[in-house]
Amino acid sequence: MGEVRPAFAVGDRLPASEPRTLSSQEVAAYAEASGDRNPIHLDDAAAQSVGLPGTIVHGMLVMGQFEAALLAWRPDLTIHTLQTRFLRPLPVGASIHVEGRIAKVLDHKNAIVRLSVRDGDAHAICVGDATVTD
Amino acid sequence: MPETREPQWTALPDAVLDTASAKIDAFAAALSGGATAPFSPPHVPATYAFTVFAGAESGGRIEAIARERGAMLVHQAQAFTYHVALERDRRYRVALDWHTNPDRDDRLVLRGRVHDDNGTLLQEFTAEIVLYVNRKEQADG
Repeated sequence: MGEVRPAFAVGDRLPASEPRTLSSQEVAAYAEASGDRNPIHLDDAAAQSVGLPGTIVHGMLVMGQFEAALLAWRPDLTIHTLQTRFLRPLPVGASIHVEGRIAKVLDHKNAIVRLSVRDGDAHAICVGDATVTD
Repeated sequence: MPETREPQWTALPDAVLDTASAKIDAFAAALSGGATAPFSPPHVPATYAFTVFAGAESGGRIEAIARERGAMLVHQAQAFTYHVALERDRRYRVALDWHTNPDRDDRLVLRGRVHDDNGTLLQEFTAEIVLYVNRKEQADG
C-alpha cells in the first residue's frame, strides 16, 4: 500500500486574491442582507461623531472574505473553526485582498490556515486562523 | 499567578435563525460583491449565523447598552466553531448570552449557540465588541 498523500504542507499559500474595493454600495448591500444597519457603516456624520474619520466596513463583511478565499482555493474544504481579530478599521471605499498560508498540519487531511485581510498599502486589517479539512 | 475569573454570562432571549434560500443568496451575494459563488447552494456562509443578532430583541438590548453609554458597537474579534453544517430553508433556535469583560469595561462578549429541533449543538460563535466612544471629543468638550 502506498503512503497517504497529505492534503496540506506547511507554507502552502492560498493563491493571491484579486484586490476588491468595498464601496459604499457594497457596504449598503451587506447592511441590507445582514440586517446590521449600525450607522458607523452607513453614515459619515454618525461615524465621525464617535471619532472615526468616516464610515467603516462591517467587520463581518471583512471576516467573510476569509471563507470566500478558502473556498475559491479549495471548493470542497470544510471549515471547523474560524477565529479572527481586527487590527484597525477599514474605511468604506478601501481596497482589500486576502492572504493565507498553511501554518500547521494536524494530520493528512487537517490543517490550520493563517489568514489576513490587507488593505491597498498591505497593512493588516484583520488576521485569523481557520482549522480546515480537505 | 494572576487569578482567572470566569465570566458571568447573562442570558438574552432566544432568537430564530432563518436560513431561507432567498436570504442566504442575498447574504452570499453581498459577501462576494454580487455573485453567489463561491457560496453556491446548499452552502450556508460561515458567518451567516451572526446575523441573528441584527433585528432580534437580543440585538436591541445590546444596542441599548451602547446607547446608555453614548457609544457605538464596533467588532474587535470573533470565533466560530462549526459542529454540523447548517441547512438552507430551516429555522434554528439560537441561544444567546453576553458578558462584560471584567478587565475592560468598554468590552463585551456576545455568544450564540445554534441548535436543531432535537437540541443538538450545530454551531457556536462569540464576538468581542468594543463600546466605542469618542474620548477625544469628551476630553476636548
